[in-house]
Amino acid sequence: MSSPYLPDTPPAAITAAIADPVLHPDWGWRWWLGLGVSGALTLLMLVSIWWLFRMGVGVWGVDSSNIWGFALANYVWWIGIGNAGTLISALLLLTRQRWRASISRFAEAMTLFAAAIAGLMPILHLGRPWLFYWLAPYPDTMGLMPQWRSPLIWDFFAIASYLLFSLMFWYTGALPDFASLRDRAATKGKQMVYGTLAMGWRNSARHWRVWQDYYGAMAALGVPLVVSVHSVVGMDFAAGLMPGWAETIFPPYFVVGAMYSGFAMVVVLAAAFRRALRIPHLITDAHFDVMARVLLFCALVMTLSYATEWFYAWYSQEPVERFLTHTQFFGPYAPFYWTMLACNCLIPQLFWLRALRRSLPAVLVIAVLINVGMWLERILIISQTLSRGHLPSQWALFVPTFWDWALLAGSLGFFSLLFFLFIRWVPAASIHEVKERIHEATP
Amino acid sequence: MSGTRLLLAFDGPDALLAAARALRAEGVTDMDAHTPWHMEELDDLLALPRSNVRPVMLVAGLAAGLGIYLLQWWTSTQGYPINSGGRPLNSWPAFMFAVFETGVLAAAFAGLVAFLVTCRLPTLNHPFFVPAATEAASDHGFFLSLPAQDAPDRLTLERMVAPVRMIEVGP
Amino acid sequence: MAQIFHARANTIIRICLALLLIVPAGTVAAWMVVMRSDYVTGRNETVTQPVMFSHRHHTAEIGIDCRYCHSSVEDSAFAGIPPTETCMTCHSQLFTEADMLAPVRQSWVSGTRLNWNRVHDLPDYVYFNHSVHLAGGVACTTCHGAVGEMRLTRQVAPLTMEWCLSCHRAPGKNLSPRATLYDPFPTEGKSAEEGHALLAEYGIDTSGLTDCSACHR
Repeated sequence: MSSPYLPDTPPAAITAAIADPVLHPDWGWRWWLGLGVSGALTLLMLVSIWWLFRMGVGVWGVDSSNIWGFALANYVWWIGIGNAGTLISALLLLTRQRWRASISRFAEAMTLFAAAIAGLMPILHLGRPWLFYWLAPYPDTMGLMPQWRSPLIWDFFAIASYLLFSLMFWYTGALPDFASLRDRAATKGKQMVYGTLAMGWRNSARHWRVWQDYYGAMAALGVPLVVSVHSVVGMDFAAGLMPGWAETIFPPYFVVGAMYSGFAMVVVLAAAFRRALRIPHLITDAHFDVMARVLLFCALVMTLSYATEWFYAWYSQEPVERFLTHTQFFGPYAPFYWTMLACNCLIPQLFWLRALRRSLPAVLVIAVLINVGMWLERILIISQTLSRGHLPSQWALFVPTFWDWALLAGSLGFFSLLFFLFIRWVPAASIHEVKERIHEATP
Repeated sequence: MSGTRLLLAFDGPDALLAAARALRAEGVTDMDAHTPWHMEELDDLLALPRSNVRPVMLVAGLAAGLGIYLLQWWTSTQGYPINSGGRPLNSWPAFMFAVFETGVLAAAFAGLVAFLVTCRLPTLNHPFFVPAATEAASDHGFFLSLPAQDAPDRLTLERMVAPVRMIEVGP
Repeated sequence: MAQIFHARANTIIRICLALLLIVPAGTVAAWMVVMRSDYVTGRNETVTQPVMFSHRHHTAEIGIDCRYCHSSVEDSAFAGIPPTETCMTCHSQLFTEADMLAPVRQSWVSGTRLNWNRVHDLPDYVYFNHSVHLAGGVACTTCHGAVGEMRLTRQVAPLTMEWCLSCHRAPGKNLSPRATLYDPFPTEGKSAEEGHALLAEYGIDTSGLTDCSACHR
């Protein structure tokens, strides 16, 4: 009996399916077009960063009421996307979910890219971004150390650790695949590059055992790490004293939100990779089915989280909380809030239907809508609270400027640029793990 | 693991496992294998030693966590005590974020180093790479590796485990 | 495939991996050294002045008090740079033909001030106040060094925040008795007891000395 996720395929065919698009790329104009568009958007991001450095944070829509704005919303959104990769890899590895094998590699790459972009956002928001290294504890000439009780420092440690951890986890998983590429490469140059990356991996059983010890331990560390990273992001808000932020529910609520948007992004990428690499036998309809179920579950938890917030507002009898909840539904940002509820809570309920879970276009559209909804959630958490703070004299609506949008669009472009390069240079799925899972499933 | 080794090539994982079992029964020790994926069955069958990667990770993680805690304690209470909203100088719950993140990072890094050192990697140039046939190990080839001097003679091997081919790999 | 890499590659890649750790760590370490070096702090650098003015001659050799020229040092944040008139109180009578003093005479005649260059320049976000330091018993030479030895004036202290804090955290041993505050040479070797006594004598409350707002407003 072969698994519905991985139909029985001989090992050599798997190596060919995953390695050949890297070694003998023939994507033609589509790849170049994608690279060009992403490159142009990346350029827009660089220009917006340059303008920010030159002029200061005033180029954005932030002011003394709306101190956070797009930069922090983008940060929370990107780091959320960055969390799903490690979750898929680590959590699903530990729970021995076979379907992870063919999506884990690019999901981990997604983690790396998204976390790197996320890490950039708070730095850009610092005001004097070039002094960001003050966040690190080192013996400076000022005799100062970081203020360890500040959420900004927690962020710094969380993101820096997560980024480096993800890089090591990703590289360890890819090491045997680089050996496959080295052994398959026809030119001396490719042999040297992938040979160096493979570090002389010989597929030895002794090495495999050590590798498994390390990789398994990394997976076991990865799950609590992901939870801690996004809990820290939740704490950025919960440690503040603003209405709608100082809630004990925030860390778990943010972790689920991160998983939600991250899985939605994985679905989008999986659809893209399946089409680009022509590997419907490795990323199957069953994959989309199971990921849609995960999304459905997350949608239910998110709905519960929103409902808990409303309940707290009512039950606490706290006037500011009740006012904030009323503002959410009927205030100036209400249309966005209703849209967010539709995207995050209502539309994913369509996944109760098996036919829709197995329809690639339907899954894709809903996944994109979830990502839009989750981004709206991030910006609304920030703007609703800050625009209607404790002091009515400080009330002011947040209005994004051109440079806010430029940074958001540019970061999306940069993300896809990295993926266009990734698909060209790195095997997009785990060659050795797919083989192992197929072997396990075959009696 | 040094010295000349004999590689027996097989078609698939099952033939490899059967051969390993037979040679083990014959008393051949110091065996290794080269397979496209991690075959858990081989860990016991070849009596492969468990590595000390995980203990190293544990120690490194705990040490780094303790170290960053001590740094936070020192800077907050001794180096530059700052009264922030009347909170205790040694605000240990707030310090735990950096402790955990740093501990995990240190464990991951120490584990990577331990993994490479245990496997003696990187070894870009190795006798294993000399015969062209061994490159199948990362694709669809299954090799059992045994020390050439302790190996039964080739006729016996042929009869016992019927490998597809035999390759000698220099020291 | 045969052997892709030469036997030397094993050593080379191991060295490269080691460098991957050593280079960033070394760069950070080197940078910390550079940030404390005279090159960055400006310590011991002799600043070119419009007139070759010797503090050693005017203080240690002929015994003019610091406050004769830096007249606002006791009651203002700024010690004061003397106007040309102060120079001319003596030099209208002494060395009236000296070439070295030509710019002073020219300034006096034309009424344009001499453009002295700052030797000790703190960042603008530090609100340093000379008078409060003198009132608290910090002698001139504690920060400015042995002015009585300097033919050309230079910065002796690194003027880093670390350096400021080293005194703000433990001011006692850096204080001087009132009688010696304006001496051109520092008094060496104060004991801890003397330091304590001076703290009490000047009535210094050390509790707020390392508050951010002590120096940054």
